[in-house]
Amino acid sequence: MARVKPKPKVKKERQLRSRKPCKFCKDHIDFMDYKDDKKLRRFMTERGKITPRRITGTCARHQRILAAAIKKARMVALVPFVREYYR
Amino acid sequence: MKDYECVVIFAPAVAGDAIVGATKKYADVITSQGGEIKEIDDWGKRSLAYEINYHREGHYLFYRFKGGKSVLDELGRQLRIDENVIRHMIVRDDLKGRSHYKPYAETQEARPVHTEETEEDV
Repeated sequence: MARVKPKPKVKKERQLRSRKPCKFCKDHIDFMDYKDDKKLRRFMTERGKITPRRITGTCARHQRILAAAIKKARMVALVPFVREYYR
Repeated sequence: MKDYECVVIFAPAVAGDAIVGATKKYADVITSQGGEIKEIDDWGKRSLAYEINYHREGHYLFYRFKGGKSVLDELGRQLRIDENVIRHMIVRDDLKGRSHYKPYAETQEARPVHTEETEEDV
């Protein structure tokens, strides 16, 4: 069998999208309360994962603050670690 | 002396007087070690986000206090001994004067708030 010559890769041009503004920066929030599970859940997937920055548009600093709050909330069962099924 | 927050989760079977008694007990632990209580809050029974010791619900108690190492050591020790406590967490209070979120505020307006004065009538 003759080896099929691989097609020369064509570099796809990635569309440049303007970055979503960080919600926290916009509202000048520099603190996230771990007790506010409703707000934290907005930054989590259905399965309980922390939504990545590239999806939510949160800036690095606020993502750190947010992640710390989510991890605290997980400790006291306000927010899940994982959710395997819907209740 | 630094500011701390403490969340205590009791097993769902614990209710009524037991909760009131425990609230006072841990408040006394804090004060007896030279701590200063700033706020005691009863969040009531909430469903847990995941099972803890096969419990799906828990009764939440919240403290905000000022204290040193001896307060943390003693409070943590007592909470670990207590069989009614299924989970506890002591963290630094970094509110710095900001108002903090009350988990039940949106669902129930008037929950009994345990303070030094109103502790009896709950």
